[in-house]
Amino acid sequence: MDAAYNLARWILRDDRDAQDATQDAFLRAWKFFRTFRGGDGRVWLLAIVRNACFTFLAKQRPHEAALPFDDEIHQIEAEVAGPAAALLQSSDADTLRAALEELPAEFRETVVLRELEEMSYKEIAEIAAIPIGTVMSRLARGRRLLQQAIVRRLQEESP
Amino acid sequence: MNCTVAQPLLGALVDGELALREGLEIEEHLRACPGCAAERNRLIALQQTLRRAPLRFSAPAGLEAQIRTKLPVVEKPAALAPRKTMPFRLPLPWLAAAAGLVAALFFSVAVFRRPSAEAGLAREAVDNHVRSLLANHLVDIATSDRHTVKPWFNGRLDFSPPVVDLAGDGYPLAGGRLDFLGGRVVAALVYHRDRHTINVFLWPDAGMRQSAAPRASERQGFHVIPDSAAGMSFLVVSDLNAEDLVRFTTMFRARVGSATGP
Repeated sequence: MDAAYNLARWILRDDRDAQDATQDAFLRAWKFFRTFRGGDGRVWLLAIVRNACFTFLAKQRPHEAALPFDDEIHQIEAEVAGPAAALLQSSDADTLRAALEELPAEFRETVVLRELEEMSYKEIAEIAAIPIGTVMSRLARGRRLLQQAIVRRLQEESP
Repeated sequence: MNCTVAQPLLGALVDGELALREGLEIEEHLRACPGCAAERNRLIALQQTLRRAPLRFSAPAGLEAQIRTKLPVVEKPAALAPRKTMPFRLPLPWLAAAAGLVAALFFSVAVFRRPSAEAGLAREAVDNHVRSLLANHLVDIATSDRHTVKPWFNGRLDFSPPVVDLAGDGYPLAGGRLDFLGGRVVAALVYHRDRHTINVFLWPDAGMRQSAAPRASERQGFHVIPDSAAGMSFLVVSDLNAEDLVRFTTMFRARVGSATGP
Protein backbone atom coordinates (compact mmCIF):
# COMPACT_ATOMS: atom_id res chain seq x y z
CA MET A 1 0.00 0.00 0.00
CA ASP A 2 2.75 2.44 0.95
CA ALA A 3 4.75 1.49 -2.12
CA ALA A 4 1.73 2.12 -4.34
CA TYR A 5 0.95 5.48 -2.78
CA ASN A 6 4.60 6.51 -2.74
CA LEU A 7 4.96 5.84 -6.45
CA ALA A 8 1.73 7.68 -7.28
CA ARG A 9 2.69 10.59 -5.06
CA TRP A 10 6.05 10.96 -6.75
CA ILE A 11 4.70 10.69 -10.28
CA LEU A 12 1.77 13.04 -9.69
CA ARG A 13 3.39 15.32 -7.09
CA ASP A 14 0.05 15.90 -5.43
CA ASP A 15 -1.48 14.16 -2.42
CA ARG A 16 -5.12 14.26 -3.54
CA ASP A 17 -4.37 13.05 -7.06
CA ALA A 18 -2.07 10.34 -5.68
CA GLN A 19 -4.81 9.07 -3.36
CA ASP A 20 -7.29 8.97 -6.23
CA ALA A 21 -4.83 7.16 -8.48
CA THR A 22 -3.96 4.62 -5.77
CA GLN A 23 -7.60 3.91 -5.12
CA ASP A 24 -8.33 3.64 -8.83
CA ALA A 25 -5.41 1.23 -9.22
CA PHE A 26 -6.53 -1.00 -6.33
CA LEU A 27 -10.07 -1.22 -7.65
CA ARG A 28 -8.76 -2.05 -11.10
CA ALA A 29 -6.37 -4.61 -9.66
CA TRP A 30 -9.21 -6.24 -7.78
CA LYS A 31 -11.39 -6.34 -10.87
CA PHE A 32 -8.74 -7.72 -13.14
CA PHE A 33 -6.79 -10.00 -10.88
CA ARG A 34 -7.70 -12.77 -13.26
CA THR A 35 -5.13 -11.30 -15.61
CA PHE A 36 -2.52 -11.79 -12.90
CA ARG A 37 -0.31 -14.51 -14.31
CA GLY A 38 1.66 -15.30 -11.23
CA GLY A 39 5.03 -13.84 -10.50
CA ASP A 40 5.54 -10.90 -8.22
CA GLY A 41 2.30 -9.37 -6.97
CA ARG A 42 4.07 -6.16 -5.98
CA VAL A 43 5.42 -5.62 -9.49
CA TRP A 44 2.03 -6.35 -10.99
CA LEU A 45 0.29 -3.92 -8.68
CA LEU A 46 2.85 -1.15 -9.16
CA ALA A 47 2.50 -1.54 -12.93
CA ILE A 48 -1.24 -0.87 -12.53
CA VAL A 49 -0.57 2.11 -10.25
CA ARG A 50 1.93 3.50 -12.70
CA ASN A 51 -0.47 3.16 -15.61
CA ALA A 52 -3.24 4.83 -13.64
CA CYS A 53 -0.88 7.74 -12.93
CA PHE A 54 0.24 8.23 -16.49
CA THR A 55 -3.31 7.95 -17.78
CA PHE A 56 -4.19 10.68 -15.31
CA LEU A 57 -1.24 12.81 -16.41
CA ALA A 58 -2.09 12.45 -20.08
CA LYS A 59 -5.66 13.56 -19.40
CA GLN A 60 -5.20 16.25 -16.79
CA ARG A 61 -1.74 17.63 -17.47
CA PRO A 62 -0.75 16.74 -21.04
CA HIS A 63 2.21 19.12 -20.99
CA GLU A 64 3.85 17.02 -18.25
CA ALA A 65 3.37 13.67 -19.90
CA ALA A 66 5.50 14.54 -22.90
CA LEU A 67 9.02 13.16 -22.63
CA PRO A 68 11.87 15.28 -23.94
CA PHE A 69 13.54 13.23 -26.60
CA ASP A 70 17.08 14.55 -26.64
CA ASP A 71 18.24 11.24 -25.31
CA GLU A 72 21.99 11.64 -25.50
CA ILE A 73 23.09 9.99 -22.29
CA HIS A 74 25.58 7.82 -24.06
CA GLN A 75 27.40 10.89 -25.27
CA ILE A 76 30.01 11.69 -22.71
CA GLU A 77 28.70 14.76 -21.01
CA ALA A 78 30.73 13.57 -18.04
CA GLU A 79 33.61 15.63 -19.37
CA VAL A 80 31.95 18.49 -17.61
CA ALA A 81 33.20 17.73 -14.13
CA GLY A 82 30.46 16.53 -11.82
CA PRO A 83 30.09 17.75 -8.24
CA ALA A 84 32.16 16.27 -5.48
CA ALA A 85 30.64 13.26 -3.78
CA ALA A 86 30.87 15.04 -0.43
CA LEU A 87 28.77 17.91 -1.78
CA LEU A 88 25.99 15.52 -2.72
CA GLN A 89 26.10 13.94 0.70
CA SER A 90 25.68 17.30 2.38
CA SER A 91 22.30 17.95 0.76
CA ASP A 92 19.29 17.79 3.05
CA ALA A 93 15.94 16.09 2.48
CA ASP A 94 14.18 19.27 1.31
CA THR A 95 16.79 19.91 -1.35
CA LEU A 96 16.65 16.31 -2.50
CA ARG A 97 12.88 16.31 -2.62
CA ALA A 98 12.73 19.53 -4.62
CA ALA A 99 15.44 18.33 -7.01
CA LEU A 100 13.70 15.00 -7.55
CA GLU A 101 10.35 16.65 -8.16
CA GLU A 102 11.94 18.73 -10.86
CA LEU A 103 12.83 15.70 -13.02
CA PRO A 104 10.57 14.83 -15.96
CA ALA A 105 7.99 12.21 -14.91
CA GLU A 106 9.59 9.20 -16.64
CA PHE A 107 12.98 9.83 -15.07
CA ARG A 108 11.43 10.61 -11.71
CA GLU A 109 9.51 7.34 -11.82
CA THR A 110 12.60 5.29 -12.64
CA VAL A 111 14.74 6.93 -9.96
CA VAL A 112 12.00 6.53 -7.32
CA LEU A 113 11.51 2.83 -8.13
CA ARG A 114 15.25 2.22 -8.02
CA GLU A 115 16.37 4.39 -5.10
CA LEU A 116 13.34 4.52 -2.85
CA GLU A 117 11.64 1.20 -3.58
CA GLU A 118 14.96 -0.53 -4.32
CA MET A 119 13.54 -2.45 -7.26
CA SER A 120 15.80 -4.38 -9.62
CA TYR A 121 16.20 -3.29 -13.25
CA LYS A 122 14.10 -6.25 -14.32
CA GLU A 123 11.27 -5.29 -11.97
CA ILE A 124 11.38 -1.66 -13.09
CA ALA A 125 11.32 -2.79 -16.72
CA GLU A 126 8.19 -4.84 -16.00
CA ILE A 127 6.45 -2.05 -14.12
CA ALA A 128 7.13 0.66 -16.69
CA ALA A 129 6.79 -1.76 -19.65
CA ILE A 130 10.12 -0.72 -21.14
CA PRO A 131 13.24 -2.74 -22.07
CA ILE A 132 16.00 -3.09 -19.47
CA GLY A 133 18.29 -1.02 -21.69
CA THR A 134 15.83 1.85 -21.42
CA VAL A 135 15.74 1.44 -17.63
CA MET A 136 19.51 1.83 -17.60
CA SER A 137 19.55 4.89 -19.84
CA ARG A 138 16.67 6.58 -17.99
CA LEU A 139 18.38 5.93 -14.67
CA ALA A 140 21.69 7.26 -15.95
CA ARG A 141 20.09 10.40 -17.32
CA GLY A 142 17.78 10.79 -14.33
CA ARG A 143 20.72 10.60 -11.95
CA ARG A 144 22.71 13.09 -13.96
CA LEU A 145 19.81 15.55 -14.05
CA LEU A 146 19.29 14.99 -10.35
CA GLN A 147 22.92 15.75 -9.54
CA GLN A 148 22.73 18.95 -11.55
CA ALA A 149 19.50 20.00 -9.87
CA ILE A 150 20.93 19.33 -6.42
CA VAL A 151 24.08 21.30 -7.11
CA ARG A 152 22.11 24.22 -8.53
CA ARG A 153 19.89 24.29 -5.46
CA LEU A 154 22.81 24.09 -3.06
CA GLN A 155 24.48 26.97 -4.86
CA GLU A 156 21.28 29.03 -4.70
CA GLU A 157 21.01 28.38 -0.98
CA SER A 158 24.58 29.41 -0.17
CA PRO A 159 25.82 31.90 -2.76
CA MET B 1 38.05 -1.48 -21.06
CA ASN B 2 37.98 2.26 -21.76
CA CYS B 3 35.84 5.17 -20.52
CA THR B 4 33.40 5.01 -23.44
CA VAL B 5 32.45 1.47 -22.50
CA ALA B 6 32.69 1.96 -18.76
CA GLN B 7 30.67 5.19 -18.40
CA PRO B 8 27.22 3.81 -19.28
CA LEU B 9 27.80 0.80 -17.02
CA LEU B 10 28.74 2.69 -13.86
CA GLY B 11 25.12 2.99 -12.76
CA ALA B 12 24.57 -0.73 -13.17
CA LEU B 13 27.78 -1.37 -11.21
CA VAL B 14 26.54 0.75 -8.31
CA ASP B 15 23.15 -0.99 -8.49
CA GLY B 16 24.74 -4.44 -8.40
CA GLU B 17 23.17 -5.26 -11.77
CA LEU B 18 26.31 -6.25 -13.64
CA ALA B 19 27.41 -9.78 -14.38
CA LEU B 20 30.46 -10.82 -12.39
CA ARG B 21 32.89 -10.63 -15.30
CA GLU B 22 31.72 -7.17 -16.42
CA GLY B 23 31.94 -5.97 -12.84
CA LEU B 24 35.52 -7.17 -12.49
CA GLU B 25 36.52 -5.53 -15.77
CA ILE B 26 35.04 -2.21 -14.70
CA GLU B 27 36.66 -2.38 -11.29
CA GLU B 28 39.96 -2.83 -13.07
CA HIS B 29 39.30 0.21 -15.25
CA LEU B 30 38.31 2.27 -12.20
CA ARG B 31 41.62 1.60 -10.53
CA ALA B 32 43.36 3.18 -13.52
CA CYS B 33 40.90 5.99 -14.29
CA PRO B 34 40.31 8.72 -11.67
CA GLY B 35 37.58 10.32 -13.80
CA CYS B 36 35.37 7.23 -13.90
CA ALA B 37 36.19 6.43 -10.27
CA ALA B 38 34.98 9.89 -9.23
CA GLU B 39 31.78 9.39 -11.21
CA ARG B 40 31.25 6.04 -9.49
CA ASN B 41 31.74 7.72 -6.10
CA ARG B 42 29.23 10.42 -7.02
CA LEU B 43 26.67 7.77 -7.94
CA ILE B 44 27.23 5.96 -4.65
CA ALA B 45 26.99 9.23 -2.71
CA LEU B 46 23.76 10.11 -4.52
CA GLN B 47 22.28 6.70 -3.85
CA GLN B 48 23.19 6.73 -0.16
CA THR B 49 21.92 10.26 0.28
CA LEU B 50 18.60 9.46 -1.40
CA ARG B 51 18.09 6.34 0.67
CA ARG B 52 19.02 7.96 3.94
CA ALA B 53 16.73 10.95 3.48
CA PRO B 54 13.08 10.49 4.49
CA LEU B 55 11.78 10.77 0.94
CA ARG B 56 9.27 7.94 0.88
CA PHE B 57 5.68 9.01 1.25
CA SER B 58 3.50 6.81 3.43
CA ALA B 59 -0.08 6.29 2.42
CA PRO B 60 -2.28 8.68 4.43
CA ALA B 61 -4.15 7.08 7.30
CA GLY B 62 -7.58 6.15 6.14
CA LEU B 63 -6.71 5.56 2.50
CA GLU B 64 -6.51 1.83 2.95
CA ALA B 65 -9.78 1.70 4.87
CA GLN B 66 -11.39 3.90 2.24
CA ILE B 67 -10.29 1.57 -0.53
CA ARG B 68 -11.39 -1.48 1.41
CA THR B 69 -14.92 -0.14 1.66
CA LYS B 70 -15.00 -0.04 -2.12
CA LEU B 71 -13.62 -3.52 -2.69
CA PRO B 72 -16.33 -6.12 -3.15
CA VAL B 73 -15.66 -8.18 -0.05
CA VAL B 74 -19.18 -8.39 1.40
CA GLU B 75 -18.73 -12.09 1.98
CA LYS B 76 -16.58 -11.56 5.03
CA PRO B 77 -17.36 -8.44 7.01
CA ALA B 78 -15.75 -9.85 10.13
CA ALA B 79 -12.43 -10.20 8.35
CA LEU B 80 -12.21 -6.47 7.74
CA ALA B 81 -11.03 -3.94 10.21
CA PRO B 82 -14.13 -2.92 12.13
CA ARG B 83 -15.48 0.39 10.90
CA LYS B 84 -17.74 2.27 13.22
CA THR B 85 -19.60 4.16 10.54
CA MET B 86 -20.73 1.17 8.55
CA PRO B 87 -23.65 -0.18 10.54
CA PHE B 88 -25.42 3.18 10.48
CA ARG B 89 -25.47 3.60 6.75
CA LEU B 90 -25.91 0.08 5.49
CA PRO B 91 -28.34 0.16 2.62
CA LEU B 92 -30.94 -2.56 2.45
CA PRO B 93 -29.22 -4.85 -0.06
CA TRP B 94 -26.16 -4.94 2.18
CA LEU B 95 -28.25 -5.82 5.16
CA ALA B 96 -29.85 -8.60 3.18
CA ALA B 97 -26.42 -9.78 2.12
CA ALA B 98 -25.22 -9.66 5.71
CA ALA B 99 -28.24 -11.61 6.90
CA GLY B 100 -27.60 -14.10 4.13
CA LEU B 101 -24.04 -14.35 5.25
CA VAL B 102 -24.97 -15.07 8.84
CA ALA B 103 -27.37 -17.74 7.67
CA ALA B 104 -24.74 -19.19 5.38
CA LEU B 105 -22.24 -19.20 8.19
CA PHE B 106 -24.52 -21.15 10.49
CA PHE B 107 -25.32 -23.46 7.67
CA SER B 108 -21.69 -24.05 6.84
CA VAL B 109 -20.83 -24.71 10.46
CA ALA B 110 -23.65 -27.22 10.64
CA VAL B 111 -22.57 -29.03 7.53
CA PHE B 112 -18.92 -28.27 7.82
CA ARG B 113 -17.82 -31.57 6.41
CA ARG B 114 -19.94 -31.23 3.32
CA PRO B 115 -18.07 -30.42 0.12
CA SER B 116 -20.15 -27.27 -0.41
CA ALA B 117 -18.82 -25.75 2.81
CA GLU B 118 -15.37 -26.70 1.72
CA ALA B 119 -15.95 -24.92 -1.58
CA GLY B 120 -16.95 -21.80 0.33
CA LEU B 121 -13.74 -22.00 2.33
CA ALA B 122 -11.75 -22.50 -0.83
CA ARG B 123 -13.32 -19.41 -2.37
CA GLU B 124 -12.54 -17.41 0.74
CA ALA B 125 -9.01 -18.74 0.79
CA VAL B 126 -8.49 -17.63 -2.82
CA ASP B 127 -9.82 -14.17 -1.92
CA ASN B 128 -7.42 -14.04 1.01
CA HIS B 129 -4.58 -15.16 -1.18
CA VAL B 130 -5.29 -12.43 -3.73
CA ARG B 131 -5.73 -9.82 -1.05
CA SER B 132 -2.44 -10.77 0.57
CA LEU B 133 -0.72 -10.08 -2.76
CA LEU B 134 -2.76 -6.98 -3.60
CA ALA B 135 -2.54 -5.17 -0.33
CA ASN B 136 1.20 -5.71 -0.24
CA HIS B 137 0.62 -7.45 3.03
CA LEU B 138 1.95 -10.88 2.34
CA VAL B 139 3.57 -11.48 5.71
CA ASP B 140 3.44 -9.99 9.18
CA ILE B 141 6.73 -11.62 10.01
CA ALA B 142 9.18 -12.05 7.16
CA THR B 143 11.80 -14.70 7.69
CA SER B 144 12.83 -18.03 6.24
CA ASP B 145 13.57 -19.36 9.72
CA ARG B 146 10.78 -21.51 11.07
CA HIS B 147 12.14 -21.12 14.60
CA THR B 148 11.32 -17.42 14.30
CA VAL B 149 7.92 -17.84 12.69
CA LYS B 150 6.55 -20.37 15.12
CA PRO B 151 7.11 -18.36 18.34
CA TRP B 152 5.75 -15.27 16.58
CA PHE B 153 2.32 -16.90 16.50
CA ASN B 154 2.40 -17.45 20.27
CA GLY B 155 -0.08 -15.17 21.94
CA ARG B 156 -1.59 -14.20 18.62
CA LEU B 157 -3.46 -17.44 18.11
CA ASP B 158 -5.23 -19.83 20.42
CA PHE B 159 -3.23 -22.66 18.93
CA SER B 160 0.35 -23.29 17.91
CA PRO B 161 0.58 -23.93 14.19
CA PRO B 162 3.19 -26.37 12.93
CA VAL B 163 5.76 -24.50 10.86
CA VAL B 164 7.85 -26.76 8.67
CA ASP B 165 10.94 -26.05 6.64
CA LEU B 166 10.75 -27.17 3.02
CA ALA B 167 13.61 -25.07 1.66
CA GLY B 168 15.61 -28.20 0.94
CA ASP B 169 12.83 -29.33 -1.38
CA GLY B 170 12.70 -26.04 -3.28
CA TYR B 171 9.93 -24.37 -1.30
CA PRO B 172 11.59 -21.80 0.97
CA LEU B 173 9.56 -20.28 3.78
CA ALA B 174 8.90 -16.55 3.34
CA GLY B 175 7.16 -15.83 6.60
CA GLY B 176 3.86 -15.91 8.45
CA ARG B 177 0.73 -13.84 8.79
CA LEU B 178 -2.54 -13.82 10.64
CA ASP B 179 -5.58 -14.19 8.43
CA PHE B 180 -9.28 -14.79 8.74
CA LEU B 181 -11.00 -17.77 7.23
CA GLY B 182 -14.26 -19.59 7.81
CA GLY B 183 -15.20 -17.38 10.74
CA ARG B 184 -12.00 -17.68 12.71
CA VAL B 185 -8.47 -16.35 12.90
CA VAL B 186 -6.09 -18.74 11.21
CA ALA B 187 -2.35 -18.93 10.68
CA ALA B 188 -1.14 -18.21 7.17
CA LEU B 189 2.27 -19.57 6.25
CA VAL B 190 3.85 -18.20 3.12
CA TYR B 191 6.20 -20.23 0.96
CA HIS B 192 7.82 -19.45 -2.37
CA ARG B 193 8.42 -21.63 -5.38
CA ASP B 194 10.51 -19.72 -7.91
CA ARG B 195 8.46 -16.57 -8.44
CA HIS B 196 5.21 -18.08 -7.20
CA THR B 197 3.72 -17.48 -3.80
CA ILE B 198 2.04 -20.22 -1.80
CA ASN B 199 -0.31 -19.38 1.05
CA VAL B 200 -1.06 -22.15 3.56
CA PHE B 201 -4.02 -21.40 5.81
CA LEU B 202 -3.95 -23.51 8.96
CA TRP B 203 -6.28 -24.05 11.87
CA PRO B 204 -6.84 -26.80 14.43
CA ASP B 205 -9.61 -29.12 13.29
CA ALA B 206 -9.39 -32.60 11.91
CA GLY B 207 -12.54 -32.02 9.91
CA MET B 208 -11.06 -31.35 6.54
CA ARG B 209 -11.37 -34.24 4.19
CA GLN B 210 -8.18 -36.17 3.85
CA SER B 211 -8.00 -38.18 0.72
CA ALA B 212 -5.20 -40.61 0.09
CA ALA B 213 -3.53 -38.16 -2.25
CA PRO B 214 -4.07 -34.37 -2.21
CA ARG B 215 -6.11 -33.11 -5.15
CA ALA B 216 -5.99 -29.59 -6.54
CA SER B 217 -9.12 -27.82 -7.66
CA GLU B 218 -8.98 -24.74 -9.81
CA ARG B 219 -10.61 -21.48 -8.92
CA GLN B 220 -10.15 -18.19 -10.79
CA GLY B 221 -6.85 -19.39 -12.13
CA PHE B 222 -5.52 -20.41 -8.72
CA HIS B 223 -5.09 -23.91 -7.40
CA VAL B 224 -6.56 -24.83 -4.05
CA ILE B 225 -5.81 -28.00 -2.10
CA PRO B 226 -7.66 -28.85 1.11
CA ASP B 227 -5.93 -31.31 3.39
CA SER B 228 -5.35 -32.18 7.02
CA ALA B 229 -2.72 -33.79 9.19
CA ALA B 230 -2.07 -34.19 12.90
CA GLY B 231 -5.30 -32.53 13.96
CA MET B 232 -4.78 -29.50 11.73
CA SER B 233 -6.85 -28.60 8.71
CA PHE B 234 -5.19 -26.57 6.03
CA LEU B 235 -5.87 -25.04 2.67
CA VAL B 236 -3.03 -24.53 0.24
CA VAL B 237 -3.52 -21.78 -2.35
CA SER B 238 -1.22 -20.68 -5.14
CA ASP B 239 -0.97 -19.81 -8.81
CA LEU B 240 1.67 -22.54 -9.03
CA ASN B 241 0.89 -25.42 -11.41
CA ALA B 242 -1.23 -28.19 -9.91
CA GLU B 243 1.47 -30.83 -10.05
CA ASP B 244 4.05 -28.86 -8.06
CA LEU B 245 1.42 -27.70 -5.60
CA VAL B 246 0.30 -31.29 -4.96
CA ARG B 247 3.95 -32.21 -4.42
CA PHE B 248 4.26 -29.36 -1.95
CA THR B 249 1.10 -30.37 -0.11
CA THR B 250 2.20 -33.98 0.14
CA MET B 251 5.51 -32.97 1.68
CA PHE B 252 3.89 -30.40 3.91
CA ARG B 253 1.42 -32.96 5.22
CA ALA B 254 4.15 -35.49 5.88
CA ARG B 255 6.33 -32.97 7.73
CA VAL B 256 3.45 -31.68 9.80
CA GLY B 257 2.61 -35.24 10.72
CA SER B 258 6.13 -36.00 11.88
CA ALA B 259 6.79 -32.57 13.43
CA THR B 260 3.87 -32.75 15.82
CA GLY B 261 4.26 -36.42 16.58
CA PRO B 262 5.78 -37.72 19.81
